[in-house]
Amino acid sequence: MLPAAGGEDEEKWLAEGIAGLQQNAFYMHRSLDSNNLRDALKYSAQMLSELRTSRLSPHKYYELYMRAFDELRKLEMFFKEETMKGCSVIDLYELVQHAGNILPRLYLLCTVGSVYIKSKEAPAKDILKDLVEMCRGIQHPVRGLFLRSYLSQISKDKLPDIGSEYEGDSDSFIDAVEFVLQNFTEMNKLWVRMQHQGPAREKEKREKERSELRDLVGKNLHVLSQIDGIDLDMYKDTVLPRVLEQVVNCKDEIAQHYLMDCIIQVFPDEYHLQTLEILLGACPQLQPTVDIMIVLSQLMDRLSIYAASSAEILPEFLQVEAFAKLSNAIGKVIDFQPEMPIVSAISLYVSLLTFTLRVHPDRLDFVDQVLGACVKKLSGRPKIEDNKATKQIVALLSAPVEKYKDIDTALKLSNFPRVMDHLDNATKKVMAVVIIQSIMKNITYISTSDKVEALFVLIQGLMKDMDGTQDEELDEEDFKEEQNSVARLIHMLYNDDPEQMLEIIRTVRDHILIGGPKRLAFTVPPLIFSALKLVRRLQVHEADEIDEDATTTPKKIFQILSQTIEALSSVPSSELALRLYLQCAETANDCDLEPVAYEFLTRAFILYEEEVADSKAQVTAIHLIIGTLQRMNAFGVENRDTLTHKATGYSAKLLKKPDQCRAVYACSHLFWVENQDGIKDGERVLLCLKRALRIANAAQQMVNVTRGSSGPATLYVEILNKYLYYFEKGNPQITSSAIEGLIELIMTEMQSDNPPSDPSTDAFLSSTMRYIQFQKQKGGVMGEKYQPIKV
Amino acid sequence: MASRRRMLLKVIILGDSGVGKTSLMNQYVNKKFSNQYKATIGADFLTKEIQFEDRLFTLQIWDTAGQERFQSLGVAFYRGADCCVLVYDVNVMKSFENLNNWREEFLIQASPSDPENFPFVVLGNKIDIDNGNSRVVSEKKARAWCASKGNIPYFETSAKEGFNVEAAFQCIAKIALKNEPEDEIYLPDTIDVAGNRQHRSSSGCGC
Amino acid sequence: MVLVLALGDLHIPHRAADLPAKFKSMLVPGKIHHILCTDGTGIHSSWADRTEPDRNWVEPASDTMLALALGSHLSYDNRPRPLIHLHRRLPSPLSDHPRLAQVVPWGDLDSLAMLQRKLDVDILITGHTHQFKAYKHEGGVVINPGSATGAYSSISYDVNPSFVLMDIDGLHVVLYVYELIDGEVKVDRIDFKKSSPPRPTP
Repeated sequence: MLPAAGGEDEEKWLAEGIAGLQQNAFYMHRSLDSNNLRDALKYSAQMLSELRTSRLSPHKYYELYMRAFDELRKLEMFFKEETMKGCSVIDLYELVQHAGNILPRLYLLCTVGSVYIKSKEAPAKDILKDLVEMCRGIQHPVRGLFLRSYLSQISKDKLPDIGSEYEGDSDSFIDAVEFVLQNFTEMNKLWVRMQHQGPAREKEKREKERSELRDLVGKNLHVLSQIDGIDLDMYKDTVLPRVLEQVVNCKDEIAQHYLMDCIIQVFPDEYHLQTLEILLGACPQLQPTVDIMIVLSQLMDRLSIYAASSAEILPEFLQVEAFAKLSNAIGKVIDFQPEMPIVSAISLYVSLLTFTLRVHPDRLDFVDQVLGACVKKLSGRPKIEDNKATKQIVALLSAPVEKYKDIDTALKLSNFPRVMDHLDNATKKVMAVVIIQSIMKNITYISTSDKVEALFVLIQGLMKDMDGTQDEELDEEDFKEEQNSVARLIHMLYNDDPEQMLEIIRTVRDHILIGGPKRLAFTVPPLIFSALKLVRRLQVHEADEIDEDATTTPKKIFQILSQTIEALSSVPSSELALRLYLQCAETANDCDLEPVAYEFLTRAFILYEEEVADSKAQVTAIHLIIGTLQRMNAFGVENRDTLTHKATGYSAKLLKKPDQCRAVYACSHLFWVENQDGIKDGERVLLCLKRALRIANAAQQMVNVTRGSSGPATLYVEILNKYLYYFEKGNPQITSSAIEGLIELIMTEMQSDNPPSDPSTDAFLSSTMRYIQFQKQKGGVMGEKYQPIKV
Repeated sequence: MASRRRMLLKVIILGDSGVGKTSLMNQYVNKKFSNQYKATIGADFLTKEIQFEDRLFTLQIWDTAGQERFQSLGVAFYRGADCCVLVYDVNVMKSFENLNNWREEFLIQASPSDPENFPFVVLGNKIDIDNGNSRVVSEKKARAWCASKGNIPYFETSAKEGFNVEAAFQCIAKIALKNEPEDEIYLPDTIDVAGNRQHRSSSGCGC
Repeated sequence: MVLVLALGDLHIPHRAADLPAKFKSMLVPGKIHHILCTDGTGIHSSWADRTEPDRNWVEPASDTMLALALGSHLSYDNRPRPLIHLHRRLPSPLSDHPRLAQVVPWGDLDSLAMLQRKLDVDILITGHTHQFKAYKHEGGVVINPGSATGAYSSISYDVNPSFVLMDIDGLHVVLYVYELIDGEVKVDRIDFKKSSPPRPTP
């Protein structure tokens, strides 16, 4: 058809065409100015001859056409003036037919025809009918399409539509519709035929050109949509069936896809809604290569926007059973096209789901139906591994989760987990993360153990090792992030009722314990604290003495906790386990459960002895133990002695002297607790402090003492501060002379300059001395107490 | 010839899909309005005869597809425009933000000789919706943008209620009329080559 | 003027799922110069990295850190002086000896005072008790911002989420205390001015 041409050649041909066109237009204008009709017709026909070229692509041809079009407007005005001057339009109509070539002749005929219709000397419908028939003379696709497009353009405002000044008898607008439909049909035929003209090797180029030309065909549908006379009945009975007939019968992929899109876009929503069956009925008849997904999702997009535009429209959707029809049509399309890739099928379900979520958010059954249909399609197939398809499934499953902002609703969808079954492990994890994020974002509490159970099925990809993944290289950071999200999720599993909460805790425990050692370190702590919170609530309840024979008691919970932490201590997370034991011990203490608290502390000590090997970790752990023990008041004398004895013993056995020293003076607080039934064992406090001093002294003796701020001199000042502390608290064993002695000792040590004291120790000492001065000058009881201290 | 040329004023309406280009044109030309959304395909015009300072003009108003996929043949129809009308929906921020793109695209494609002074008119449409409660582009903001682009005349319209449509098109016609015609001055070759050219053109199939 | 945000005892994910939504919406990035955090168990850094990637974060290695000192010396003269020497980790001397910051008995004011003397700081930030506290002590200020997540604590019952924003300007510190009570954010303002005589500048 078109000779293969480079862009440069085409530019040249276009320039030539324009030059020829301008030249003839120039002479045409001159003839018009001198009222020489015959010459005007001659030059205009020559001008229009430029449109006979076959060498231009549709884009370039359009440029040429537009120039000719503009010139023809001037000719048209001239014709109009002529007829007003008394020249017969019928004569003109005859006259232009003398043009030698058919293409210029038809352009001129259309131009006069436009004036003819305006003159109303003949019914519009007759003239239009004549013109649309005559245009059959051009069978070259590009030239024919542009000519007919010209006809459509000049006639657009002259159709005998209802209310138009060209309206004829009662039903004349039907003629208008006929005219447009006929022109549309002819144009579509030309357009489709183009595909089959020329050598096969130029197919791609032809398709590109066809694609450029498509709007010429589609514009007819736009014209139809603007005809007021077309009411719903006429659209339903005549227009849509006729258009669809053409679409289906042309059996051309490009045309079908484009025209379906046009139909959906140019006709109003209420028409679509009322003719869904007809429109959707065409879908399975289209060529298998047509991307129905795009077509249907555009339709559903439009309809859902329409549904959202006003509350009054929704009943209409229900009345016409829009969902059922769409669902049915999609089912049919998928059945009719067994070759359809799975990703396309799922995409169809995604768009249907989006539609129903937007239009019928309250119809959970619709959502489940869509998921069910998807399960049906997926069943019997191996797990989906196509990346695009899994993405679509994630989109499918995410849609209801995001829409309802409430995982509870998604948990009610029976087909939700079934769709998930078809996912590979990696995608299951992705979905699990989506679900958890939704819960976190919307702060949704999962309030029964059944729901927790259902939720854990959905997120099992994160909860345990899946088959076949053991060998997979798992990125450490990713794993951490995943497990942290599970940890956060555990705080969202909550019920106000203690019974139900305990059930939830049990369920969570059962699930996390099978998670394997790597997960436990993440999942156990939040469960422990969740349970401790429950204990707290029971404590408050118990205080009210509401329920004597409650089945949920702190004791039971502590039992669960004990077992759960044990699981953690058997994996290399002993320091974490130790901390959790201490937390439990404190809470048990607050519940006045001495044996339980004792048991927890004992376990903490065992872990300390057997598992905590690193010296820094030991220091941290022993301070935690001391801090915890210091607060506990549930113990009888004997138990307390055993525990404090152990704590002081371990403190003195730390690896480094400064660590020993600090732990030992911290232990002094175990013997001095300022609460209602406080322990105030001044002698043992003093023993601890003296022991700390001895250790500090020993540290001083060591040659290789660590330099820096935590050198032994600092230890002395720290101990001095402890002395001051107990002095103020009224420990009779701590006397002013003991303090003076200690200050003297420090001064000597600092002056000995071995090792040279560092500025921070100096500053510490001087701020301590300032403090003593401050207390002395403060007056009152404290000032008096400090008076004896000479500095 | 020049006088005949000046009787026709070509106006192009541009703007995002759904801002109401077709509705504005229909309201102005046919005094009709429909709430239904119908996409426009390609480009199409309506004409309206107007009287201005005792002379009769034909206003050729080109309505265009806001959706790019319905503009497959390109924009050759921009050529020779006397005025370009940019429409946005006061309730849709994006449609306002896109005005700049539409304006620039027009100037590139139509390549008027004096792009700085090419006449534009901006219409902020759909001011009737929800009594203006849903509007997101303030008049002030729109006017500021118009001012920054060389004092483009600005109208707030409602195609639905016909509000300000007539006034807007009056202004459009007026400034279109002021636009200097840009017809390339064609000087014919001294030799009449019509005969030769006939020959060249016959490379077509002869229809 | 320097803005310092003190977010205490987050304990995410061990004891809490997240910061309260109301706090999150308030803690928008941009204005804060430093963020101090008295607890580092959590994955809060993922939150922090999103919102304040360029800020200084101070996070002790674990919740065993019962108190944290901020080495801020308020300026007596108009000489500019680096207010806070912070890196991603604790400033020396604490970074070498995290155990120094363990104060037994927990939350004991007099023991905290000792720490403050030892570190020679004007502002001492502590944590662990999950109860907001701020008081003047020997010319310095001790602040416990409480728990920003309202996390469980064995010491305090009914923890309300809270955090503190410090506006430090010369010798003057203004504390803004944000507390979430029954779903509403309550803000308190506390002024501190350093009054003790200037020490010799090093």
